[in-house]
Amino acid sequence: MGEKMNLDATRNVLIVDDSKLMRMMLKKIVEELDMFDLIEEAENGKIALEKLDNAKFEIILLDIEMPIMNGVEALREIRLRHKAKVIIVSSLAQIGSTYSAEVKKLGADGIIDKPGGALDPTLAQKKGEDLKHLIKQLV
Amino acid sequence: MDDEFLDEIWGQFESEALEHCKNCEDLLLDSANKDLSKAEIDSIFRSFHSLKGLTGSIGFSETVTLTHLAEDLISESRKGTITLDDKLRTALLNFTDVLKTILQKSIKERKEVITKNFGPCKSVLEEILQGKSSKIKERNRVLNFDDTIVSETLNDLDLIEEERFTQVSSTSLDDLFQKSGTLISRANALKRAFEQVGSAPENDYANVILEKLVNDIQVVNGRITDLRLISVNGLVRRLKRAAIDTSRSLKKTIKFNVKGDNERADRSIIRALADPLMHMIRNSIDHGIEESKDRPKKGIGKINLSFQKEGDNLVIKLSDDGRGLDKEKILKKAIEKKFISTSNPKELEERDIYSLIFKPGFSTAENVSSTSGRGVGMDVVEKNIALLGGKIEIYSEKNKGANFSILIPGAVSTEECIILKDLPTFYAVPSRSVQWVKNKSDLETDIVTGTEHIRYNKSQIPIQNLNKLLSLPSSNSEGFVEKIILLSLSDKAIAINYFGDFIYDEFVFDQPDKLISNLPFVSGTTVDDDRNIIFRLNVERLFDYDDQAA
Repeated sequence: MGEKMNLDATRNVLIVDDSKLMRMMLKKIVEELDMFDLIEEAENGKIALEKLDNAKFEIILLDIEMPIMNGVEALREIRLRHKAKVIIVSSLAQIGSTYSAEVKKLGADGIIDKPGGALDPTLAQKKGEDLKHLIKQLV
Repeated sequence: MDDEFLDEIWGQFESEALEHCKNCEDLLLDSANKDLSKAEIDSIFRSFHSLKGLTGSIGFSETVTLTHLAEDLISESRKGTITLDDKLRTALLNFTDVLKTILQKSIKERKEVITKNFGPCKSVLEEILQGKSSKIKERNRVLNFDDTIVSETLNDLDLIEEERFTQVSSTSLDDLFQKSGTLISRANALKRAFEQVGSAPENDYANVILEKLVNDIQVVNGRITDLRLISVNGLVRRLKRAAIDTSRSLKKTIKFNVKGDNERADRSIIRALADPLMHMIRNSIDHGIEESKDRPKKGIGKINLSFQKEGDNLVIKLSDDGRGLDKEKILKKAIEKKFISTSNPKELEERDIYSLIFKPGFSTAENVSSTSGRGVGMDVVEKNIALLGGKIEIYSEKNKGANFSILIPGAVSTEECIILKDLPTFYAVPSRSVQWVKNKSDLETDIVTGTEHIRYNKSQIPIQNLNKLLSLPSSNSEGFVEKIILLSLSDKAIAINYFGDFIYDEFVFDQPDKLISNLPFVSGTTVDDDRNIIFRLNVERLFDYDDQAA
């Protein structure tokens, strides 16, 4: 269905993470924002780039550690060709880490820890809110 | 969050976490035998990293401290600040075991459950990370590193895994399976009967229904087969583990090679094979492989294990390149223990001598070592294999090593076959090895060195007669069309001629009984609806024979 729709006119989010569990949780958070028409998923950087060639995305949530093409490589490519705002969602990119410096240099628009604590509603809530807040700031 | 979403989250969490555990285990076990490639190192790091991410995102606040430690360790080892040596490998393997218990209990309870092996596991990881390696040695002895304790943990895991399944008695499963096999034969017979009636328009509807029915039966049969068959992969992982533990405790460096670990077999067979194989591998490392100073030219001790399906049989081969079985020693011991009389031991054939080690109470090691002498002897190995209806053979050469070949019949399944009606005998050939069957009159043949050949893939294949090949008297050819069947296995081909018809069918084959098992190329028998006996040809063996003849 993705190809037929006129995706350029819609507001789209791309979630890039090799863990389906993580994509499910991120998708849930983005859905709660109720701001986007389409939420697409990709399980590595390569698939993400393919999807980016076919449609316009406003926000990309990008994991770092992924097979085939990792987030840092993907970010480098994305910055060469796309305007989408990229939020790095990774525990590797904690503030002050080498990764955090590198992704900033490559042009990441935001860095955030992975959402966590599915079992703990308050913690899940808090982490979810942080991400929602960041997305709202960027669009 | 709604319940349905939570259910999904738990399910996804379980499958991803277990998948990463498995990947970690496989690669850690591989790393004992070879240097991991960069891609493999990245993959193992990613799995450890994902385990931390997964346990964190599900909200296991205690467990995440453990997965964090493991990630740090593998990360340090990727950077080269810690070597992935036996100690670290064992600690990380132990970590995956502990993690699996925690995962399985937690997933069942729907909350984080910390098991009692959590603490010790964590402190070992911490200590390695801090480089206080000297203290660990002593603790290793208590902590799972002794293989009796390891096997306890594994058994625990087995139990937990079993809880996730509904138990069905294997006899009723067998019965169901047999019935479903018969059902397929019946459906095929019905189909043929319909074909003979001809395709009158009034039969169209019935034909469609019949087609669907046959398909459904095949699907059901496939599912039932699947219920019974599991991959040997899990078993292989346990065996690799046992090999590593044994080689370490004996301070022998070995390379453990496994082939065919994706073969599948009946779950009861796989379960029953675990102990015998474990014991045999320990034996090979303990008694077969020499101390490195005693094998200066041979280098690292090599142990090869392979699983191969031959027809309905599972063939397991275990070999080492050690000192081989000592005939003299075995004989001496057997006489001592009065297993044989002293009168004429020289008359015994080599394989009879080797099979003496299967006698209860036999043990050649002067001092029963703590590794292989665990009360389970080769007698138990043979007994367990015999209980499966299998047999074990030994071939050994001094200073070259020992080879064990185990044949387990009936990793059963229905098989699609082409039945050659070479009256009065029917032969079944598995259709996967058949390229085509053609009337000989339609083929161009050439005479090469007095033998008729057909052309296939730019090469000349000699035509061999079915009955001659099977050393049987030639069949009645009068009034029958001569046919050529072309069999292929990898890049080799055999052309066989016979006189008669052929049909497609599916059967469950029985083991040939004693009388028939003397026929070298027959690997199974069955009976069709008209009570004709059908012999299943062992195509693999035909090719072996063809190779030798060439």
